[in-house]
Amino acid sequence: MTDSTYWWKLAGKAFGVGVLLFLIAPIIAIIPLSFNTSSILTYPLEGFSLKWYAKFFADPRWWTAIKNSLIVGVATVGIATPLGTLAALGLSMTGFRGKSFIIAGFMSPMVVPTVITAVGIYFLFSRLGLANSLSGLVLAHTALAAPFVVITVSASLSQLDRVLLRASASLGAGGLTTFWRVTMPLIMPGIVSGAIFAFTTSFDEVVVAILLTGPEQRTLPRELLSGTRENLDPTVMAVATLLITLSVILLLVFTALQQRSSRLVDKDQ
Amino acid sequence: MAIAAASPIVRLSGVSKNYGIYKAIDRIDLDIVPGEFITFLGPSGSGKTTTLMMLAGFETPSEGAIEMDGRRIERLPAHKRNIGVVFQNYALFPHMSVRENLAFPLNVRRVPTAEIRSRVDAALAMVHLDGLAERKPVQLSGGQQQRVALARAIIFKPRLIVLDEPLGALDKNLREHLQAELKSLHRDLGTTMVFVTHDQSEALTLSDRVAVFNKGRIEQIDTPEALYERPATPFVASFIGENNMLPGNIETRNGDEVAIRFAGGGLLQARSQASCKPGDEIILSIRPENIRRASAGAGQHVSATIIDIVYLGDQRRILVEADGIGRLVFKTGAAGEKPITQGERIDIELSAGTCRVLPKQ
Repeated sequence: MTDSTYWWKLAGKAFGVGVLLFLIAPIIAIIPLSFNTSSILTYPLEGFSLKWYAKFFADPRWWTAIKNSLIVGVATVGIATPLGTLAALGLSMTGFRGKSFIIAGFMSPMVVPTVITAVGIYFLFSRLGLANSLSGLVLAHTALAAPFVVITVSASLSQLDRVLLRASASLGAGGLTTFWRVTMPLIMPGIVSGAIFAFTTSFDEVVVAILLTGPEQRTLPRELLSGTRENLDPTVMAVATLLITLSVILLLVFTALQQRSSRLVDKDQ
Repeated sequence: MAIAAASPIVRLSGVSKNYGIYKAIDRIDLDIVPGEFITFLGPSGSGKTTTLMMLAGFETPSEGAIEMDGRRIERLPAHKRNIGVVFQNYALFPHMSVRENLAFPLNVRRVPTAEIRSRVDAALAMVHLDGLAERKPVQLSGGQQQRVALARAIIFKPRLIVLDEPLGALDKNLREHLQAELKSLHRDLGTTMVFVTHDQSEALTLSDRVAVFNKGRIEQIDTPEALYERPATPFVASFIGENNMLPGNIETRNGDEVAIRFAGGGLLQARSQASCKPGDEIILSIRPENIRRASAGAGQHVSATIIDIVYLGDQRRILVEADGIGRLVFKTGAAGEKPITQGERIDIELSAGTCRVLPKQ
C-alpha cells in the first residue's frame, strides 16, 4: 500500500466518524442533562440525580400524554399494518392499468410536507367533527404511517419465491390457506418492520398533533414541545431520554428481524 | 401395445397456448395411461414445460380440452386437481422443517395428527431421509432437498405426479443416482409420472414412453427404443442420440426398397416404410453405430476419405467424407482394430436395413 492511499483511507474513516458524531451528538448530549441536579440545561453537570424522572412520573399531565401516545400509536399500527400489507399484496400482483398512480397515491403522505397534509386533514376533520379527538388523530397518523408498511412489506414480497405459492397450490392449499401458512410467515419480517415504522411514525409525530389535539388529547411529542416552550426544565430531557431508549430498542428489533429474514433465503439464492 | 390399450388417466385434445401472437403450444393431442412414466423431451422453448404447467393448473390453455379420468379440468384451479408437482428448484417452504413440509398437504386435507406422523415417517424412509425430519430446508444438500420435494409430492397419494426438470440443478453423479431412485420409486408406487427434461439420455433411461416436443408441437410419442431406432422425423432423429443426416432425392422405389441420389452424385440403397415416391426430397438418417469399416465383399460399400479422428477412451469417433454422399460420423473400438490415419482412403459399409428415410421438413 502506498502512503497516499493510506492517508486517503484514514481521511475517509475520519469523515465517516465525523458524520456519525454530527448525527448522534445532539441525542447523546441530552441524556446526561436528564440526570443533572441543576434545573438549568447547561454543562458542566453539577451532580447526579433522578429527580427529573421522579417529577416526570409524578406529573399526571405526562401520564395522560403517554397514555394518549400509546393509544394512538397502537391503534395506528393496528389499522396501518393490515391496510399497508393488503396494499402491498395487491401491488405485488401482475401489472394492471393505473398501478403507478395507485403507488403514487399510497406514497404521497411521505412526499408531501407534513404541514400541508396536516392542514388539509385539519380542515377536513373540523367539518367531520373529528378534530380534537383521538380517533381523528389515529386516522391522520394511519395515513402517514401506511406508506412505510407498504414499502417494507413490498420489499419482503419481492424476496418471496413465487414458486412456493404454486407449490402450496399443488399440495391442495387454496388461496387463503396459502396466504396464512406460506405467504404471511415468509413476509412476517416485513410486516413487523412496517408495524415498527408505523408505531414510531405516530409516536414521534408532532405537526398533526399540534393541529388536531386539544388539551385532552395531547400526545407525548406535543407535550414535549409545549414543555420546552413554556417551562423548560430537565423533565423534558428525562422524557426525551426515555423516548430515545424506546427507539433504540425498536431499532434493535428491526435489525434482528432483517437478519432473520435474510438467513431464511440465504441458501436459496 | 399393452400400454395404449388402457383407458387414459389424462387426455389432452387440441390443446393450444398462445402468448399474444406467439404460439407456445400448437394443438397438442396426448393420452397418458395409468401407471406409465412418460417424459416430455425437447429443447428449451419447445413447449414441454408450458404443457406441464397447464396439466398442473398453473397455466390455462387458450384452446382445447384437458381431461383427467374423463372429467374436464382445464379450468379447475391447481389446488383442486390432486396432482403432485416436483419443481426444478425444489420449492420447499423455507420456514418449515422437513416434517412440516411433508405434513402440509396432509394438514390441508385434514388428515388426523397421528396418521400424519406415521405417513411422514414412511415417506421419509421411502426417500432415505430418516432422521432429518426436524431439519430446515437450508440445512440440507441439493440432493436431499430434492428428495424432500419428491416425498412431499407423493405423500398425499396424488392421482398423478408431474416433475419439472427435477434433477437439472444437480451434478452428474447425484443426478444418475436420483434417476435410479426415481425409477424404483415409480415401480414401487405405481403412480403415473410425467417428467420434463431436455436431457435425452435421462429421458431414455427413465421412461416407458417419451413425447418429443419441438416448436410447440409433439413430433413423436413412443417408447425409447422406438424413438431411437425408428425416429419419425429428422428432428427426432437428430435430437435423440447422434445421427448422420443426409439430404437427398428418391430415385427409384421398389416395394420398401428405395434408391437415394445425393447432390454429390452418390447413390445409396435404403428401406422405407414411409410413403415416398421417386423425385421426393428426403433425409436419410444413419446411426454412427450402424456404419462399419467394410471387411468382406457383402453389403453396401462406399469409399471415403478420413477427415478427422477423435480419441474418446473406449472408442474412436471418425469423421469421413463419403464419395458423392457427404460427411459421415462413425465409431470404432479404440483398440484391436487396424490403425487408421487422417487422409487415408477406406471403404465403409452402410447396410440398407439401417438407413432410414425421413420426410424433409
